[in-house]
Amino acid sequence: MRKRVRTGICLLAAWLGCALMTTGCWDYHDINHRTVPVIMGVSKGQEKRYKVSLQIPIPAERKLNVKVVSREASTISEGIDNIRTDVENYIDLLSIQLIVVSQELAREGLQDALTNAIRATAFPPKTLLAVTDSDMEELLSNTKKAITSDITTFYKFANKRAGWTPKTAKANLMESFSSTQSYTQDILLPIIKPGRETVLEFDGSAILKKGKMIGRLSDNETLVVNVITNRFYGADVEVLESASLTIRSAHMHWSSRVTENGPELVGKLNLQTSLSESRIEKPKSEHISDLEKLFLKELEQVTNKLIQTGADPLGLGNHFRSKIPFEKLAQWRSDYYPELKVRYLVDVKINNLGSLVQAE
Amino acid sequence: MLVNRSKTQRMHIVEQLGHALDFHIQPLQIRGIPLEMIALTSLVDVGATARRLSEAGREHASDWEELLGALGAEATQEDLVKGLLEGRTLILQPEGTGAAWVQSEVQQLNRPVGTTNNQNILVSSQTGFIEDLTTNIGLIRNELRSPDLKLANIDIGSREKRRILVLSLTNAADPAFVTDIEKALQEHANTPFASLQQVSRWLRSTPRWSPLPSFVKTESPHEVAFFLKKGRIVLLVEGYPEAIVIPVELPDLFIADTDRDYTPVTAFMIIAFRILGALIAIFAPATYVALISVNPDVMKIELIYSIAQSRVGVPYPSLTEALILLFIIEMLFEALVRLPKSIGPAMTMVGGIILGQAVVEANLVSSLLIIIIAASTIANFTVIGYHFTLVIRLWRYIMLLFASIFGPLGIVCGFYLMLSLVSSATLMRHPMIPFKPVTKKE
Repeated sequence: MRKRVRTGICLLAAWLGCALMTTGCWDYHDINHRTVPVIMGVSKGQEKRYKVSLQIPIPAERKLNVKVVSREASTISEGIDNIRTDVENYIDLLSIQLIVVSQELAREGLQDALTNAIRATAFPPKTLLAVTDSDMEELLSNTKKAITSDITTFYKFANKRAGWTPKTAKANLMESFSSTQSYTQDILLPIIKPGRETVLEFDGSAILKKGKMIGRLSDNETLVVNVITNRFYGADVEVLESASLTIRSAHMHWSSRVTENGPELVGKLNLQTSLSESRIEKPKSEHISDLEKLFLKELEQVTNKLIQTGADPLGLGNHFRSKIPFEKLAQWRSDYYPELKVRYLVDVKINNLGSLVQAE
Repeated sequence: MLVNRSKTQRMHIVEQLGHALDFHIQPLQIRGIPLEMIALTSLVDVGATARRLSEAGREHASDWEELLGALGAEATQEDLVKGLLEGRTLILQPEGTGAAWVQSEVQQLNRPVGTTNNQNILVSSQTGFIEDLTTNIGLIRNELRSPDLKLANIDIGSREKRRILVLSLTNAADPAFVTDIEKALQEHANTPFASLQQVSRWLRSTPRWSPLPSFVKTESPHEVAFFLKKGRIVLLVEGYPEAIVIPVELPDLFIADTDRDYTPVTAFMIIAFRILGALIAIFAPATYVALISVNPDVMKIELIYSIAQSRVGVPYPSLTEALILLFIIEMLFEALVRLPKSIGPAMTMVGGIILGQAVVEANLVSSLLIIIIAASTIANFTVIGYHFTLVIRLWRYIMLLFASIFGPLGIVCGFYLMLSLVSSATLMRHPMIPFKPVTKKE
């Protein structure tokens, strides 16, 4: 009996020992010995292919010391590793909030970089992606001050509950990666540059086709894209000739079919608006028709522009996934997309006229 | 019946108890018959007893037997020494040929029935048990005037006996379970009584190494009546001013009898807070360690930096940090139990406020940890019953260990182990988690 107990205890100890060995708990880094970079910049290096810049806030008592460290390397991970060697703390990339890519690199194509980032799982998939056409060091240094006082500055730009507006595009790492793999969907990345008074300025968005930047959209065009893709949250003021209307919500309903002449889409847009300013006494119905016309024009213009570029950030192809055979879906971008006919119907409702009486 | 025995009977008593300070032997002459009265002064008010015996009558009694009849004496049957120790009074014929028990005037050794001492009762009856068994039964009968109340008496012990009463309601309790319990206690009737834990071992609570108590203790007769009506069995042990309710069920930690006096909505709220309290007490320090050391990335970035700033300059890993503070708290608890009531508050002051503040300023622990440990400690005492509080205190360390090794995953592992321990705990094949079809009781 005693012998059995003793062997039992030995086995238990051995088992516990093995369990402890597998954990690697001696490699854990305490939170104050890690630095959690918030932004990473990747641009073209002068000597080597990539120049990786990290904005690293290092916690000190009652404040943060923000450093911008850049290293050139032939791969991104080598660049990060070089920075890691030179920074006193352990760098934990799992909380990176924003990855900024220079426009040159984006034009060369990001497919490999995105695939590697997802493969390595060094970055969280929800990290936001952005493109910049200005100097990376300048962008990161410019934001230093804002970061020092509030670490979440960048995060807030992209947060629906904080500073995000429907005029900016928003794409995270996972979405961008999946768009490079998808037959029927491309993506828009926001273009940012250092601002003079504000931390950042948004300068439209970049159209990525299979991970390669092929063009740009302006602020207003981005708004239209967000409306079409049902990503309209919050409010946006639309100025008409006689009035300005605040759009409270926008919803798009699609119906698709494939005809002999190619694929056809009908998009029905429901807009809920409120009247914010009105210059001339005009009846409500005229505001409605004005806004409908304006939106019809913009929707068609943006859609046509995008179809001409050959990129499909609207994900229009997704509506045909069940209607085109899967083996032919691979040719969506080349065969079907240029032939696509999109027709829009806009339905505007003014829900709130304010406290003043308005003619019908 | 009169027992005539040799003089050695008296010799025997004197030999065994004669050296004691409270041993009292006094010659008396009642109704013309000389006799000796023997008692222990610590248990018997000898003066009053002698006076009462003397007042038994004036006329002379013809013989010993008539005297016994007049005194209402009781024949001796068992060991005389044991009877004396129980507080009875013996009268002996001087030659030692006859002996009998007479009614003693007992010394008042028990405190009066008062409020409960270690248990706060908010609503319902305020009386609490005392050390005397008879009084306690009286208190229970006062709450539960039912002919169904069944009492079984079991004396435990080899040389000195301790009385244990097994109470049950015949219309509510499972009779097989009651018999099982009585049988298990009877089997150990000759084992010296040491502790309540020993009794719970006799009742075959499994697993043997489990930290979970197999009984609930209560000082309130009102609660005992509540448990009896629910079909539980109550043990009253001589000398313990508490009733022991078996078997324990998991809801007893969170649902008190007095909750029924609140409206259902508020009762639900209170119960929810108790459950939340238990969870916070167990998880809070472990979560701190897991998030600080192993997986900070699951937190929001704002939180990461505010915590990192509060920990700048702290030289220890988070586990050591948490253990330092937890040990201080544990020592504070233990010290408070030992300290006289007048010094207690001063100790709380030194321990809680001054030490806590100083430890942060000395950069030994982060200020966030102080908050977490304080929250966990407060939450610890929201569950009902001090016994369970101790289990939660213990499990906090186990969770801490798991969290420091495996991080958030370890917390899940520890919780799983805790649940399996609770689910496997039984007393007399009666599980601690009462999953059974609902049957109407009473």
